[in-house]
Amino acid sequence: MSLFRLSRKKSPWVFHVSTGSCNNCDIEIIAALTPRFDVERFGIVLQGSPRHADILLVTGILNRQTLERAKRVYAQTPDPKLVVAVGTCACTGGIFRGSYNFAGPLDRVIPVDVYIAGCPPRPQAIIDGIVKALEKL
Amino acid sequence: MEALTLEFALLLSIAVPFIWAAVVSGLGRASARVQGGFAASGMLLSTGFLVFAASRVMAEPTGLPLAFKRPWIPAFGLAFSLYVDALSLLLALVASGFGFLALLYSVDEMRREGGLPRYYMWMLFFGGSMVGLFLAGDLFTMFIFWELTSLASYGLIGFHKERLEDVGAALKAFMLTHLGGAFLLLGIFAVYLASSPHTLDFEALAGQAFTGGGMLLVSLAIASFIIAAVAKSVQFPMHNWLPSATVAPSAVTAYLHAAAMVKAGVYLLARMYTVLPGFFNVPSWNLVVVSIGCVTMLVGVMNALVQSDFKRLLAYHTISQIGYMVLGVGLGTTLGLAAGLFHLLNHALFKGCLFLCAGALIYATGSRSLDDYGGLAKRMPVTAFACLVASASISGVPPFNGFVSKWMIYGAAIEAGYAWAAVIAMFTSALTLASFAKVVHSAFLGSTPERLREVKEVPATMKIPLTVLALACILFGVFPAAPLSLVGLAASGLVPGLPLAVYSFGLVTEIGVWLPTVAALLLFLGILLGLAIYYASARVSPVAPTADKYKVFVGGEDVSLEEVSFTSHHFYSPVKSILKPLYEVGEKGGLDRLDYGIARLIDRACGFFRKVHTGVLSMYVFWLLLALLVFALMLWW
Repeated sequence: MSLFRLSRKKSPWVFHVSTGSCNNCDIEIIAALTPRFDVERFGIVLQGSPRHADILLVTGILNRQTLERAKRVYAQTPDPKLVVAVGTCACTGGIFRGSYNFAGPLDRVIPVDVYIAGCPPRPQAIIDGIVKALEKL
Repeated sequence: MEALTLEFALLLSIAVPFIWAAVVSGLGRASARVQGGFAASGMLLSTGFLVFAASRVMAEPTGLPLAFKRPWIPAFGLAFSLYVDALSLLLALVASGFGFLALLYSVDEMRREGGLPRYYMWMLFFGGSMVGLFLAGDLFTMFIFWELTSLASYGLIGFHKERLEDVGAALKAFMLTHLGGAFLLLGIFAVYLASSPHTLDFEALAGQAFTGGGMLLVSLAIASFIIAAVAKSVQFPMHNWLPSATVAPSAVTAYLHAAAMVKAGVYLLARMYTVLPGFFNVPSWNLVVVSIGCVTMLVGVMNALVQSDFKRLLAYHTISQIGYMVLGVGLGTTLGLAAGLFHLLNHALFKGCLFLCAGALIYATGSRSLDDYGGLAKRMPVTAFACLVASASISGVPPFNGFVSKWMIYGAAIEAGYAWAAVIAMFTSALTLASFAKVVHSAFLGSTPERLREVKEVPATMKIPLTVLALACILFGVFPAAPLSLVGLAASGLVPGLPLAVYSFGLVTEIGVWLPTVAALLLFLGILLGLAIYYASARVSPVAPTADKYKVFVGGEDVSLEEVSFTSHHFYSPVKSILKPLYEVGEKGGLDRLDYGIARLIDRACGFFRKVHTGVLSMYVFWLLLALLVFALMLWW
C-alpha cells in the first residue's frame, strides 16, 4: 500500500459540514473528539478547510439555503474523499422530510458512503461509522 | 585650440537645451510626436557634446580638473565659469543621457495630453539647468542653476495646473528645495567671507587654507550646505515633498526625482571635498552625514513597505537609496566616495527604469495602485522584464549593478570604521527586497483581474528607454570595470587615494573580493539548472479558476477572484502589525507636528512685520519719503 494511502487510512482528517442541523449531531461529533471518546487516537483531526479533509461529516437536512454551498464544499474537497451522513436528518431527512425548506435528502445531491442513523447518533456509533468508512478509502 | 573646442562643447551642452526649450515653446501647432522628438533631439545633442568632451578629457586624465572662466562682474570676482573633473562629467552625462531617455519616453506617454509645449519647455529647461549645475565652476553659478532646477521642478510637478493636488505638491516641493537654496546661499556667503582672497571659485577654493574667517564661518558654511543637500536630496527630515511630487507625469518623476535633481544634494556634499578640503573630511562632520544617511535609509524603506500606490512606494525607496549615497559620500574615504557615486549612477539607471515601468503600467491600466494590478507579465512582457531587472538591482541582488555599488558601500563603511552603518544598510537592503517582492508579485504575477484582461504592452518609444535601462543594469553589474574607471577617477579626485583595485576579472577592496563575471556565470548556470528541473518534471498546466472546485474556500460561498486575490496591501499587513509602534509615530502626527510648529512660528514672526502694511496709501508715501530722506542724508555724510 502506498504511503499516501496508508496515511489516509491511519489518519483521516475530517471536515464538518452542517447543512441546517439542529446542532445535536454536531455536538455529538464534537463529543467524539473530546478525551472521553478520543478519536484523535485514530489520527482523526478536525480541519478548518475542506481542502485539508479526507472525510466530510455532513449533518442536517440540506435545506434550500445550504444546497448550493454544500455542493461547493463537496467540489472543493480534494479526491479521494468520503462522505459520511451523520444523523437521521442527513440520511433521510428525518421528521423534516417534506417541509417547506427541505431540499435533500443528502444522497440526492452528493454521493454518500456511510450512513450513521440516530437522533442524535451516539459518539460510539459515529466512531463505528467512520471506522467502517475507512475500509472504503 | 583644444581647450577652446572643449570649452565650446561644454557650453553648448548647457546652452542647447535652453535654446531648444525656447524653440519648442513655440511649436504648439506641431503634432505631439514632433514636439517630443524635437525636444528629445535637444537632450541627445547635449549628451553628444558631453560624450565628446568626456572622450577628450579622459584621453589625458592627469590634466583634470579643468576650469574655464568668462568674467562677469570682476569687482566681486564673479564669472561664469565651468569646472570639469571626473565628478562633473559623470553627473552631467547621467543628467543629459537620462534626459534623452525620459524625453523619448514622453513622446508617447504625453501624446494625449494638452499644453505640451509648456511641458517640453520645462523639461529642456530642467535638462539644461541640471547640466549647468554639474558643470558650474563656482558656487554662485552653481547656486543659480540649483534654483533654476527647483523652478523647473515646480513647473513640471504642477504641470496639470487644473488639479489642486498637483499644484499643492509643486508648491511644497518648491518651498522645501527653495529653503535648501536659502541655506545654500547662506553657506556661500560664509565661504566667501571665510576665504582669504575672497572667492567662490572651485579651483581657487581648492587650494585655500581658510585662515581668513576662522572655524566658525567654515562650520556655518558646512552646516548650511548639509541642510541644502538634505532639502534637495530628500533626506530626513526634509523628505516630505518627494512622495507628493509623484503626481507629476512619470517621465518627470523618473528624470527629476530619480535620476537628476535629487542627486544635486549628493553632488554638493561631494563638492565639499573639493571646496573645503580638510574641514569637511573630519570625523565629526563625517558622523553627522553618515547618521543622516542611515536614518533616512530606514525612514524611507519603512514608509515604502506600507505603500500601495506604486509611485509613492518608489518615491520612498528613492529617499532610502539616496540615504545610501549620502552614507557613502559621508564616509570620507576614497572607497566610500566611489561607492556613493557608483550608487548614484546605478540608482539613476534602476530607479529611472522603475519609474518608467510605473508610467507604463499607469499608461496601460489607468490605475496607480498596486492593488488594481495582477498577472500582467503575460500581457506586458517587456515592462515585466525591465521591472524585474530593476527590482533585483535596487534590492542589491547579484549579478546586477545595485549589488556592486551596495557591496562597495558596505565595504567602505566597514573599512572606515562605521560597521554599524553597514549593518543598517544591509537591513535596509533586506527590507527593500521584501518591498519589491511585493511589487513584482502584485503587478506581474498572480491572477489578472477582469478589468485588465485586455491591456496591451506600451508603444515602442516607451519600450526603448525601459530596455536600454534594464540592459544597462545588467551590463554594469556583470562588467562594472567600465563605469568604475570613471567613478574611481571622480572619487580619487575628491579624496586622494585608491578606491579599489579594478581588474578585468573582478574588484578587490581592502574588505573583500567580488568577481562579477564568474558570479554572473554561476547564477546563470543555476537558473539553467532550475529551468531544466522544471521542464523535466511532470507539470500540471495552470487551471483558470472558473469551476467551483478551484475557487477559494470561503465557507462555501461563491466569491469572485477579485475579492480574494492576494494583493499588495495583504503583503504589508504583517509588517504593519509587527512594527506597529514605529508606524503609530508617523500616523499620529510625527514629523507633521514639527513642521506645523515651525510654520506657526514663522507666521507669528511675519505677523509682526505685516502690521506695516496698513493699506493706507498716504502711509506708504510717507515711508517712501522717509527712506529717501535717510538715503540722502547717508549720501551727504
